[in-house]
Amino acid sequence: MLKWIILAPLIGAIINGLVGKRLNERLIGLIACASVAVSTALAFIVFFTQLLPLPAEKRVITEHFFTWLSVGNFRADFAYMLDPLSGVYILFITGVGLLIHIYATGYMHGDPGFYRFFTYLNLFMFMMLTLVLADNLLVLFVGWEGVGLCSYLLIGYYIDRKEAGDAAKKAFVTNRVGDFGYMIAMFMVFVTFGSISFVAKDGVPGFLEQAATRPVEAFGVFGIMTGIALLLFVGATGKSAQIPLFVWLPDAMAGPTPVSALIHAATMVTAGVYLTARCSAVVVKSPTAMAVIAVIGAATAIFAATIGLAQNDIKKVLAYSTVSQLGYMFLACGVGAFTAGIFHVMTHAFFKALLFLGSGSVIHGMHEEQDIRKMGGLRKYMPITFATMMAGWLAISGFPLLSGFFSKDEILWQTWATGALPGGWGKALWGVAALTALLTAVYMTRMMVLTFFGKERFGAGHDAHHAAGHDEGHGHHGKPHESPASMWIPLAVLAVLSIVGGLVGIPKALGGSNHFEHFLEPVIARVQTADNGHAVEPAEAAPAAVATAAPAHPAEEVHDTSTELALTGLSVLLGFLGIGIGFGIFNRNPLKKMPTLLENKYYVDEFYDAAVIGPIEHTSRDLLWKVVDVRIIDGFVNGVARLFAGLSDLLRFTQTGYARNYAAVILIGAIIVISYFGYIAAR
Amino acid sequence: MQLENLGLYYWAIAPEIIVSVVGVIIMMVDAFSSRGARKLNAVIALAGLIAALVSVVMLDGLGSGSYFSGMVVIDPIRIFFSVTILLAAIVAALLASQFLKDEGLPPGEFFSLLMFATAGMLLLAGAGDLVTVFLGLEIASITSYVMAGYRRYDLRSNESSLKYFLLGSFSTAFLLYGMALTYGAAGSTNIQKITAAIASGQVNYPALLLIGAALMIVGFGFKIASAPFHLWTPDVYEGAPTIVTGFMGTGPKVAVFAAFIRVFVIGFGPQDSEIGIQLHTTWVTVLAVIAALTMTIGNVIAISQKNIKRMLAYSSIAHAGYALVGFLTGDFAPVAFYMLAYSIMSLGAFAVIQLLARAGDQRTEIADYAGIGFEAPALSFSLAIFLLSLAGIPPTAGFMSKFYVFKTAWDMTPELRWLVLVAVINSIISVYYYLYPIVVMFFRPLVPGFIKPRIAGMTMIALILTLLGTFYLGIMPNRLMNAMSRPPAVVTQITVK
Repeated sequence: MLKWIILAPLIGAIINGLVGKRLNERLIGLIACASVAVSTALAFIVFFTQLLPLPAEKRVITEHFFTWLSVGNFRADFAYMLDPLSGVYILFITGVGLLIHIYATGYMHGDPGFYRFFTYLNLFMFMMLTLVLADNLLVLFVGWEGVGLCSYLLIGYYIDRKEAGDAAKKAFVTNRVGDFGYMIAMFMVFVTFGSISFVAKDGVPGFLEQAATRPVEAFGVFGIMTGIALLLFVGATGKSAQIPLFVWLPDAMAGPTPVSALIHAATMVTAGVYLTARCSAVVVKSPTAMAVIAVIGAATAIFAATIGLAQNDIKKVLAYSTVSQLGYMFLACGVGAFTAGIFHVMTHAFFKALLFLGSGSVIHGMHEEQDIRKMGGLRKYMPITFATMMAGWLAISGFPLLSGFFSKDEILWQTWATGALPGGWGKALWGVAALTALLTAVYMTRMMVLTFFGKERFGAGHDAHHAAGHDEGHGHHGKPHESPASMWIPLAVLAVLSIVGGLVGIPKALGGSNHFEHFLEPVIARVQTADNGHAVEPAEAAPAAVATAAPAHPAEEVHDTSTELALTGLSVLLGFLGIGIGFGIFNRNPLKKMPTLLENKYYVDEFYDAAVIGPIEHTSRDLLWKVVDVRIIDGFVNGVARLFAGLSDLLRFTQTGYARNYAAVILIGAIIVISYFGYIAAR
Repeated sequence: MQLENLGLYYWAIAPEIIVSVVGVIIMMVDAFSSRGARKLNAVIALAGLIAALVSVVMLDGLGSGSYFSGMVVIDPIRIFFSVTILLAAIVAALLASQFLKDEGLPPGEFFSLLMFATAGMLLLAGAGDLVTVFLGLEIASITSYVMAGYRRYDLRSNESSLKYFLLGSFSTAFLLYGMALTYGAAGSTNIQKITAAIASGQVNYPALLLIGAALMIVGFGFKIASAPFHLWTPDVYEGAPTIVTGFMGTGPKVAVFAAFIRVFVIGFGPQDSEIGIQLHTTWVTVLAVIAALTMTIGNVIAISQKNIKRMLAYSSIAHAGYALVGFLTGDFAPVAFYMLAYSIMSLGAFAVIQLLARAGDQRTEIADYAGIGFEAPALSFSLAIFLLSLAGIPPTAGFMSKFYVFKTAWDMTPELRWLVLVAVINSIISVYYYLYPIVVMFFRPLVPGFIKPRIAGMTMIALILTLLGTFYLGIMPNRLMNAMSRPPAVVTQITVK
């Protein structure tokens, strides 16, 4: 059953890839959506009828597809595992994925590469599901690389636009840096534990289970667990766009908007969070790594939020917002609140997919205009888009009782109350996170105000842009218009989810029972300090159960709820304050000049150009190029190759073409070999 | 004397008999049928090869043993290498039909030569005695010499054939002399008896045995094209008709590796006597150096090649080096797997090259491939996949075979880890020249005068088979690996029936 969840989109991709060129749009869209729908249906059936009825500690379903290879003691299976963590992921991946597929049939209407687009999109679904359902690190890596490839193909989808090609390349290269960390981590896991599997195989317990029995490495100690955790995190920073590898994500907006929504907001970019939560048993053994993850997460959150304040491209605003929200998720992981991180992954998938699809609807309605300075007053023309985006905007701003409010509030509270980090760190990180929450409300309000409120700023300028612009496909110029039903229905569904999606995880302090956290608990390791880590008993029953019988959760029972409630009140206040500031400033002065430093994204791209790319170019051009050979070389890579080619030319002289010379060489070789044997014999 | 005592059990050589008889039948059919019976020849050849393949699989059911006074053995080495040889021959036969038609060459002799060459290789893979090793080697070699010169009117083909013949004879002399010295030292030409003599320390002149082994290394080293005995390879490969090149680079090499393993890895394995240990450590040292030299020279010279056939000739030298790394693990399975994977991807690449080269091998320069990527996408993508597999990129057969060899060598022979590192560095170097034709195909402007080649049905089948094989071994290698990892100890404990 599990394998059909994964294979259904692959079948769709194969059909569309092979014969899509000859099919009409309706059929291509039908095949693509149907294949994802099958996977969605199966995912829901398996989750609710097979996984949920199991007792909480035994919620693992495994399925062996085939043994990939087993050489010596190294074994890798193509096997899948469904547990609460991957269960949550497959539900929102297939659900949100299906909605975006439907939306895309409307958005991509008339595009000459329609079949190519859906082939890639289905292939992406296949890879993403492989990633989250993998039962070992190697298969996970197959999915990891696979989604990277699909992302690359889809960012560069508009092959005639240079910036799309450049952005695709940037994403590809940046991700390779992260993957390098992942690969070393995988190697270290295998050497340390003799297994890369999440579940027991051939009597060898999975590495997570083994990791759970290890002692905690004290803060500042650089042991093997710290090494593995940090290298995995390097992989995660690449895929999930954290400092310092976040630069590719904003550029990735060059791809079609449904891609931005699916891959670069809801699913693929959260793979890093998934990896960290999946390997939480390793991560909690290293307070050092947790501190690094928390600090990087918080820094990314506020850094990207400030940049988001000053962007004028609607998709760029959302892109930086995504980077910032991903920072929140890593902050949660870093303070040991993995479940809160995953909770935010889920709610974020709802409201960010909604916002992106809404922005796509706006761009569509505005005839490919993306600059919010040239919009305004759109609420009159696009009422449904406006209403649905309102839900997303309020959710991300932390409006009480919407989905984003619960998950973000949970992260803030867990950060404040964390026991994983040295004293005082939690409070400081909470400060950063709370400030970020304020900024989030401000920049989201700015985007909404500039887009939907105030005076209309399109018209003459818009048409001028149009004449010189790139949109020839639509043909119908003129006033903005509402999008077709295939586009607004997914928006409406996502809006509902953004509003009610948080109700599965209402914290105790607010009178809920936090089902979400209890559901995930068996597969997530608890934070341990160096003292109680030794006393931990390995969990025996469930094969993938990495939960350890650590003392009660620091956040529960121990504290009375008054602090939590006070902080919740404060964050609600910050949200309203942010929205108020946003309205106050930008409704009056929509085109207010933002600080240049922010508008230019702190010059990070320029810095990377100057500090990393520049020197490499410089060296290759001025040193290797001129030293080795000026005439033939195209660039750095060929320069190295030239060295070998020179050697190669030299060796080629042995190839005279005369049989007698060859015979002579054979004779010389024979004499050397015989002499050596003779020398051994005579010794 | 009863016949049973001699082990005259004809089923034990059923594959060889089938292939030889079919070779004779094809000659007869060709002599008595009208012109244009090319298809018939191909069909008979294929039927014979498939029958032989079936008989090899049935041999497996007989269990290990030796027959004909120990001249022929049945063991996993023979089974797996014979299957590879027959698969190579089947692909070659599938490709030959279109090649012979396009070139206007007589079909009859080609198929019978192919069958006789295959018979020789099968004999080589099943040889239990130095005499049968030599017999099989000569049958396979002499037919290969003729096939290399099959395009009689073409000077390059003649040159290829003559060089192959001269140098091949030269190296065979070393091999034969080495066998003679070994016989003198051990008192027998039977490999098991030689092993027994070494194990019990009853060797007449230890020096004679060592020199004999050295001479045999030269002889075998020439046949598998290892450095410094590799110089013939590029000239012969370039001049021979492309399909023959593909077959020569795989079939005979596979067969020679089988015999090489049986003589050295099994016969001269680590025995308990003083001479046994001395012999073993010496040949391991020498072959480790040869392996390192072979891959490095093959890969480095390949970089500067402008002709794709020459490039693949050097690539085949490099691959022999990688296979030698597996050879040194003392287990036949990595080599058997490697040679199977190599045969499939190499034959696939040569199949595409033959199609693109057109009659007379006119277009084999890499420059001739410029821009054809989107003109002939099926062929270009196939070639790209075969090249990537040769470079060892997952998820292809090339990656898995390298992984298997390197992993086994790393685990089983810690003293040879330096060699594994050399091999890994070499595979990285090799990526450069394998990617070059791909870049030329897809990212250069179209070369003038390109005509999209016609692909005949049989050629298409061969291409599909090799492509499927490349992915099958890359993605699901486990079944084959398990089958091969039957303990090699069985091999050494054969009793003369």
